[in-house]
Amino acid sequence: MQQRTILTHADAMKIIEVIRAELEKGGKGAAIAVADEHGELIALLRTDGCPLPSIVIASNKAWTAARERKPSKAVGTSSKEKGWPMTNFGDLRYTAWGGGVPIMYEGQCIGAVGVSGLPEEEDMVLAEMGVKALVG
Amino acid sequence: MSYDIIIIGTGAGGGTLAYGLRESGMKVLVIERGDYLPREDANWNVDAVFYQKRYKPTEQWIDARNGTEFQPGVHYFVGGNTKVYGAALPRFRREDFEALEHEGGTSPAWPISYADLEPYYNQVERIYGVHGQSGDDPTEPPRSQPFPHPPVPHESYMQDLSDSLKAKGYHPFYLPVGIDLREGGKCIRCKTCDGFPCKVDAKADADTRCIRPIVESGSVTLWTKSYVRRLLTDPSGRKVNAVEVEKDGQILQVSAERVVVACGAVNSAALLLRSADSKHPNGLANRSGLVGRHYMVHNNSAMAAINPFKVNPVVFQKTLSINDFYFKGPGFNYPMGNLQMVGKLQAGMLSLAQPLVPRPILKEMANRSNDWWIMSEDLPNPDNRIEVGSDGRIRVHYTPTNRVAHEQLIKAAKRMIQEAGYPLVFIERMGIETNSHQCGTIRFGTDPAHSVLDPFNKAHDLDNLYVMDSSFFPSSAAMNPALTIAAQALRVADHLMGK
Repeated sequence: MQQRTILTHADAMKIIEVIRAELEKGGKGAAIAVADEHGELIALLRTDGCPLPSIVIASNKAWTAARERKPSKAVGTSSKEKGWPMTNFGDLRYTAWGGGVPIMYEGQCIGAVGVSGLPEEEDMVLAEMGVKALVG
Repeated sequence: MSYDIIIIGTGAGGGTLAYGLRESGMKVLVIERGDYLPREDANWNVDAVFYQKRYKPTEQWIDARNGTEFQPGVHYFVGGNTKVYGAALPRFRREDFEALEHEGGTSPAWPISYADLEPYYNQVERIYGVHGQSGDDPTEPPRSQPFPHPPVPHESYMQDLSDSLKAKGYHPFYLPVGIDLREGGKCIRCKTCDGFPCKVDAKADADTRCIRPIVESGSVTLWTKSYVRRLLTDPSGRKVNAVEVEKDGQILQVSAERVVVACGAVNSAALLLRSADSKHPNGLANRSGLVGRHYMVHNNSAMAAINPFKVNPVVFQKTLSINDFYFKGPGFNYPMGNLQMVGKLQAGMLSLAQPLVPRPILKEMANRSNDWWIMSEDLPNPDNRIEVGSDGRIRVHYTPTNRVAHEQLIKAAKRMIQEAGYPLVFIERMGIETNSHQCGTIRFGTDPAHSVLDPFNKAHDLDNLYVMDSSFFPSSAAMNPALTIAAQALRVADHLMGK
């Protein structure tokens, strides 16, 4: 039998709170998604001023990162550099944008964080910040 | 071949000492195991310098705790380790020369005081062209002369950081650095200063500021690519009467009235130990048994702090330092150490946060981080020592000391930078291979039973042997050592000239 560490909704809330506080300091609106190890949503917050498309994009970034166990940016970069289209995954939820980051814990992917609504680099750093708040 | 003085090594100690003797009229031979560091494109290449370690020797030392090998942070070139140092040239604090109680034990007193070295600090700051400003650092020792150059100004991101720290009640000050930044100077203010050789000779190192000027003027003779195997003593055992050198594939002997060993704290100790003979069975100058002992390297960590919404476009980051925790900190009544900026972290230079942070994100982090060196005093422990194995290889016994204070400093630094508005913080603790501040292995003192050198760095046991590098430090303080080594070198030069 295999034992796994599972993200609780309290863990998800902790991540969301850290990123939310930082967004507030920067006076910016965005969507924050936290997913389990399969990519399924545990929590999603859209802060005031969040652009509408970001709601779907944030969850899809978390989905991509959790299912590939790597940052969504890395998936996007491979697609670009190696020339294969993102549709090769046969999964339209996969996104090439940065801002989805897996939560790695003791060598296993236990979930992912997705942030969307800001410049891509800021989405990436904020998502990483959320991961670090839990497992850093 | 005979000289008045032979100096073995050209770093902050040997190089500055040779410079101090330039008008003595003495016949001086300087011996360096390496060559001049080549001026080439690779000087400023992150890949070549940090990954391929182009300017480090391939030599491996042995970690005696577990027998594993490691590549030491040493550089065998004219100018020694100063060729790649960060050019941070602060004075030690007045209290560093006195006994100081630390959480991990006592930092012992030096046989000389700050006042003994102060005039030489002034001189050496001029030689190395130090930029700085007094009045901001709460721990600053008294100065009889101002800094020779104004401080290196903060770039706008750094000015913001400095202002935020001040607003939170901290006391940031301009880090004293030796670079040729002035109207008509050579410095072009680049990213590749700290840890890199300077391609345009703008960094004040022992090569550009000391050795090259005196070699060009003909006041000393310099042998490069010449490795000193051992020192030979006369029948009385009181005098070094020859230096055995490997040069151009030949082994030859050269002698001098006086011999100065300045190979760096590890290699100087190794040379004395290698020179054991029937009269000195435990190594030269080692009646006390202390040669190689009390090896110290500082407790070092790196910190990167990030505000997700602030890109850091800084070019020359190394302009700020904090000593608010030098003697004590919040809830901790012992010395903690110094914080100072390092050269701007370029993607992949430090393995900071790896493997935790995936690579694509690391780059964005590096674009947004301000990067610090966290440095605490390492205390002298006789069991931390350098040995030379029967195979001739260097073995290092080292267990860090004073770790509680260092962890407290890391905590304080983290809190400080978060208060200043940089919430995401990464810390990396450095290991045995980070030995750029090596010292203590041939300590000076007044009592021959408890020290190897006298207060002018002459060996107690021999009449004509001196050691002039950081080996002589009885304690490591928590500041960069180069300026203090160089100041003592000028003091020893005066002494050798009978002043």
